[in-house]
Amino acid sequence: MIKISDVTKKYGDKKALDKVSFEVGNGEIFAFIGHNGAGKTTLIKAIVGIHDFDEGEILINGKSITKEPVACKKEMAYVPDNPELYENMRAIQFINFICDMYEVDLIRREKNIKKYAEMFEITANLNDTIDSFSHGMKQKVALIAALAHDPKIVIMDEPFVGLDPKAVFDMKELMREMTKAGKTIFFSTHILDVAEKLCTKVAIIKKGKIVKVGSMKEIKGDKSLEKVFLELEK
Amino acid sequence: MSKFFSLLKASMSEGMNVFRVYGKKQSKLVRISLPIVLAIIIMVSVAGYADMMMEPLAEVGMEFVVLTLYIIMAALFILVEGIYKASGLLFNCRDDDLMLSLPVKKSTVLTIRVLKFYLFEVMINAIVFIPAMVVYAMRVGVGPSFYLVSLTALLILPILPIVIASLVGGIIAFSSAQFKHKNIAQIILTTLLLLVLLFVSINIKDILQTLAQNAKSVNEIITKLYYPAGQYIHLVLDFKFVDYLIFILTNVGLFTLMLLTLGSVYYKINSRVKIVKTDTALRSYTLKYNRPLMALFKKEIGRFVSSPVFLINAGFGLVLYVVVVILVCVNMDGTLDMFSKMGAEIPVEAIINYMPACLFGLIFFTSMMTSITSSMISLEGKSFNILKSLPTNPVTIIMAKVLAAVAVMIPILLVGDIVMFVRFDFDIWQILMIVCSSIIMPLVSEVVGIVINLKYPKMNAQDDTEVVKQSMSSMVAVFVGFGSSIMMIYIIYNTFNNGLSASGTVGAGLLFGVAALVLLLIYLWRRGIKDFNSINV
Repeated sequence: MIKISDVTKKYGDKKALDKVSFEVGNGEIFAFIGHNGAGKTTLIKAIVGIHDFDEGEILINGKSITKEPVACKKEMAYVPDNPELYENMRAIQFINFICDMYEVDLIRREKNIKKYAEMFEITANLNDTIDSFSHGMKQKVALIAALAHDPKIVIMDEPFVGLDPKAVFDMKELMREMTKAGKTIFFSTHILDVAEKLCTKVAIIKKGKIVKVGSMKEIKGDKSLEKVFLELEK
Repeated sequence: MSKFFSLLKASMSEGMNVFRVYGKKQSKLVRISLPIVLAIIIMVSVAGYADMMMEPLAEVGMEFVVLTLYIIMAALFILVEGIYKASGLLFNCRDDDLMLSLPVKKSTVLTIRVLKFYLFEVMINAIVFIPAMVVYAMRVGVGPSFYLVSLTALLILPILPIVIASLVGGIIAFSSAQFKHKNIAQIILTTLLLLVLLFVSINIKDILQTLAQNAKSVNEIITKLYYPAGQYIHLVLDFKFVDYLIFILTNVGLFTLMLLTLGSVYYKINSRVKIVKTDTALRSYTLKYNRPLMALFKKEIGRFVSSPVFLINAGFGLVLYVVVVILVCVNMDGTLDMFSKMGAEIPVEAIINYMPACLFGLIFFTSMMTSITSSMISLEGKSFNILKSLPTNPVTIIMAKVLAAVAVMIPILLVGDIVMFVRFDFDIWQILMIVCSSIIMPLVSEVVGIVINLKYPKMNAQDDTEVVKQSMSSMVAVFVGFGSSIMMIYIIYNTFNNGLSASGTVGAGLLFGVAALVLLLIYLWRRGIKDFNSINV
């Protein structure tokens, strides 16, 4: 579970996040939407402990990300919007490195890597260096590395960008499967159709402020999510 | 034409942010004044040396030799720097996709890159050459032609080193791209070339003497060694407008020839350099469990060996250390003779008696000048966020970097120590202290490096060369290393003169190292972690 309370982040005088508050429960797929520069990535980086924030609190399964960052990070996985991985490493080295950092035992990591590599059809490329990969391939490596340690919470920034249609389909199925097992999925996206069909809850951010948050039904009513979003943006 | 200048301006601005500290607001005044102040300090120091050299030369009426020496010094510096820079500025550029998608000719893109390269080198030339010019003009009565020729030379003299550096850089890039492990090929080729350059620099006196036997005058020697310098000196001593025109035309012609030749092969080399050879056949992989610190340590070692510029920059000093140690052991007299060729006068007996302190000085110098960690944070670039998102304390991440750096240095220093212990008489305490120094001093140097890099990170560099050779952090680390080494050598020299024993000197130095390390670790713990967390990519 993620609990965000009155989080404010300033860059100089400008508030990138202004008293942002909402909760993401266990077993939920939560979409976080907003236009470019609205504060989506800033909040995601604050949740995963990359950026600090000036006010408020973020709790990950009851633990504060500022007070117990290591314990919080152990429960989470983060997939960045732009997969800037270690280009000199082979894909398998990178995934193994991330598993080492999360102290995943060998049996579990072997099983998970095999499962996700086959799912994303990347098994044949695991021995290649990351600098030879396309954006989509890097995204797949980042996803496998993130999922290989069986995280309870998965935070993803634009996870579908660069993925091929089959990978997008498999990813959506996997997200549903994970939430059935009680895991939490929180992701930002600009693909509103996907968010509408996939997510149980949604939050819309505008200029650093949450303008709407709730279940998908509550937010969109009879309209499409796209229409609701565009009306809010006016 | 405006399109050309817009591109040149954009391209130049990318490389002019050496003194901009990532993520920190700096006033325009600081950004502009910092490099100017630094350049003035260097130029004043260079002028001081030129003035010192002028004294004896004035007695024999050969003041112009100062100009010659400074021209050669600048040329060598431009050549060595140029070979490094060619890989980042000319070949394997990250902005290829952007530049080549723009509605401009390919030749324009190449011209802009060469011009950028040229303008950087003109700046280096100015820093070395202008002080010598000023000192010469003040000491010797000069006419207006001197200023005309010298200002022209300022723009023209970097051309030949740039042409050679581009050629060598291109050959290294092209040849190494033929191999699957092109980084290793690039490392070997560049190291070989630097060793050749070093050999030439050390034996320059012999080379000059050989040339002198076949030449009638100093001017002819210079002309043989470095033609444009000879042309310049000739014009300074005896200005003729026709010669002046020839001076300009030959060099501009050379530059044009380089552009035309490079233009015909440039894109072939560039596309070949970018090819990443992969194993398409499915191969099995083995997974191994490592503790987080070990995993981070292995990652750092992998990053270090995968970057030719990083490895050569850091490793060259260590290779030199081993070379010096072996030379001292194998041929003590010959080595001292080599040092005397470079201008140092060292009494043999004193050196042998004071060997432990000398070795300590060498270890200190090598350690302080090999700052691997001063680039390690910056080299993370955008992937720094991966580190920050990991469930690990920043201390572990920082210590893994320091440990990886010292793991590269300590074995090499210890090999040197063992060679020296076998060759010279060291008592057990001296051996212990020297071994401890070979562990403590690299730690001191690398903690200093990481503190500097955390203070001055450069997370948006275009390539490794920009971080390793042109970042604020690496420059500060070089200054700190060089300054502290000079201080240590001065202290050792004075303790020697005051009759303190070699053991006493090493012991005091070691104690200083331990104290410095403790203080640095306390600082790193208190401030470094905050600096780490404040880096936002």
